[in-house]
Amino acid sequence: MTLDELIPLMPPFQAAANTVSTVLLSAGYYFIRSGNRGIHRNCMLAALTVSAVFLVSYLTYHNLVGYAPFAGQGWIRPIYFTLLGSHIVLAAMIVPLVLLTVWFAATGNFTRHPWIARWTLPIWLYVSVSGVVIYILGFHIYKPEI
Amino acid sequence: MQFVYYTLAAIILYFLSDWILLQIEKFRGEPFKQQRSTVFLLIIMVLAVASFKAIELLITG
Repeated sequence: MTLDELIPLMPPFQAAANTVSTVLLSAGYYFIRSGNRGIHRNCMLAALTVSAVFLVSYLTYHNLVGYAPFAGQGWIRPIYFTLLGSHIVLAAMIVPLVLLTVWFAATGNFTRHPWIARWTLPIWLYVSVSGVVIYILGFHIYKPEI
Repeated sequence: MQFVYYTLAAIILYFLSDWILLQIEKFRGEPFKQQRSTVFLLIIMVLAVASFKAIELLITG
């Protein structure tokens, strides 16, 4: 498979990775609320792995293809760009937040870990879910003109 | 390295949930419309919680 054949497969792959990440994060939250630290840790590390693969794919795709202009017109544009803007800003914020949260857990600092996780989890979930919504809007409902 | 099992399980569950959703739609005779993503998430979340508990039991014995 050549790179040219691989590029069109990357956006649906990224949406799938975001969905899998959302499921792992939600399950991880459910398990820590149920008091099961073992499954919580594994779910969160799995979510981190999937998100890291997503990030590599996302950066590679936009480095090779650039950004296709959004094809939607009218009322959807402010909604789409508000969603996209918040997604980009929070996606940049989430990287250090996730690393700090994992660091506190790995070093056994279970005072700071849940404190910072209260911010990290909802932002991470928002970034994952909004990524899927942006993909559906930008690639399915309003297909880019290539 | 246990998290690798969870990662692989989540990827398999993604495809399994998609297949289950298609089977439900075939059975109903019409596709879900606006609720499709919600139904998909519901299926995958139920499967994920059950599977992750099963994996934990298998690993810890």
